[in-house]
Amino acid sequence: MLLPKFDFHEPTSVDEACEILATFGPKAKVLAGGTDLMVNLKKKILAPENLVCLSRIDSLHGIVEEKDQIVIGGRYTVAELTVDPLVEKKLGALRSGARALGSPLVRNRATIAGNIGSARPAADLPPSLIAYGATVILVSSQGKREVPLGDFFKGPGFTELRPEEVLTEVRVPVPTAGQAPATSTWACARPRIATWSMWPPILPWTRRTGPSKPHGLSWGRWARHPCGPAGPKRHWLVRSRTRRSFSRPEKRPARTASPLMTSGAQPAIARPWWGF
Amino acid sequence: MKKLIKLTVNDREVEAAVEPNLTLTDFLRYELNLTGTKKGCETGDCGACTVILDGIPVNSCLVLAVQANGRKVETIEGLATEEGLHPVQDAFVEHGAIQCGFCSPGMIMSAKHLLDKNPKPDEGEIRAAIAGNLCRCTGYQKIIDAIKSV
Ligand SMILES: Cc1cc2nc3c(=O)[nH]c(=O)nc-3n(C[C@H](O)[C@H](O)[C@H](O)COP(=O)(O)OP(=O)(O)OC[C@H]3O[C@@H](n4cnc5c(N)ncnc54)[C@H](O)[C@@H]3O)c2cc1C
Ligand code: FES
Ligand code: FES
Repeated sequence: MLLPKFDFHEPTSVDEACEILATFGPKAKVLAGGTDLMVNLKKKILAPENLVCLSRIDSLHGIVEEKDQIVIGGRYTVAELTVDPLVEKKLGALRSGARALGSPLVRNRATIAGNIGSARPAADLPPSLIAYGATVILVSSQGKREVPLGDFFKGPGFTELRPEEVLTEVRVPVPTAGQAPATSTWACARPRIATWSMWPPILPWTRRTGPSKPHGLSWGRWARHPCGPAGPKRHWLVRSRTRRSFSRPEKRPARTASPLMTSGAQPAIARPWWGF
Repeated sequence: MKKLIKLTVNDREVEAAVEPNLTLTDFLRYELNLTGTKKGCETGDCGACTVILDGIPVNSCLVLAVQANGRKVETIEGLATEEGLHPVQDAFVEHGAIQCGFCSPGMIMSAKHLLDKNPKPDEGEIRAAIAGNLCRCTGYQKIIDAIKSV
């Protein structure tokens, strides 16, 4: 499989990358881990004349906690997210998404910005990030803007990102006491189209409202359920009042959210095959 | 326009002028004649092209040769020494963990990386480490047994 011809640029700072992107506009494409872009180039889906590789920009790589936010550099890899102690302690649902992504070889190259930038409906990181209320920082030579991730996706492969912008950071608010993020992956099949299946991850963000009980806490008075490939336009976000309370939110969200998910998804999805 | 790159491949300094659209797999195979690194799917699915780049196993079919500039690449050819095969290679032979052999270089690179980090992995850790390397022949059990035995 041959790659199309392109010029290769390797800036060492975000400013330099932005300058190159401003010069070439839509004729340039940012290259991070390449696990999505390289495949699209090989399949001739894309043929940019310039690739702007971010791998020498050190400032895009890292993770820090700043007040009530965790700031993740665009080049932080998915493999790093799976083992990062800060992510493990405070962003467990993001970690679950990262662990589910591809194979270890893919995770070693894949970056968080690339997963968001690819705007694949099946991408594993955005659902949890949307539920956390994450924002992305987009930088160009014109300046910088902050966009909530929930508003970032415009459709499969389409985002708020302009050709001259670099996604430099993902800012994730640290969950506060009483918020219980969890992620769940379903396999659903549509009976009439036997080969069609989807894996919509959902992440309920529940607030404890009832009195504590020894094992069965009263969880889930309201929840956010962003899910992955359940609609053609963007990651689907529901704020729902759930009637059911459940004792182990990390184990039970799919069951509670199931009717909402299946009725709201586009095209409508059938009941998951094991049938709740 | 060709770009000049300088990298270390199996502890040997290499310098070459390459087209930006040359993948690291093709660079290794066609410019350096290191054909141990295989080309399977070429889209990141099979792991036949696995090499270790700056200490991390990657699908070399998704890496450009120009991206390896200044970096260190280890391929299957770098494992054996004058004293003989690498212990992981020996284990694969002893356990019959090879049939057609197409997946073996990639599989061995992933296994070697795992064992360098974790000399006594359990079966779950072994399965996780080779999850990106597909084998169509062996059914995996012999590969797992081989890695366990090292
Ligand atoms: C075998 C295989 C299995 C996979 N499995 C999964 C899976 O299970 N789940 C999943 O979610 N994904 C999967 N993927 C897709 C891919 O690995 C991920 O989406 C990955 O996170 C992409 O990151 P990257 O750094 O490789 O992005 P790249 O391929 O480098 O870039 C992807 C897109 O984002 C843009 N981009 C990247 N970084 C920036 C930035 N900083 N600023 C602006 N734009 C940017 C690029 O221009 C490009 O359009 C798989 C891929 C392969 C090959
Ligand atoms: S050839 Fe690279 S993963 Fe299949
Ligand atoms: S031995 Fe044939 S693919 Fe693994």
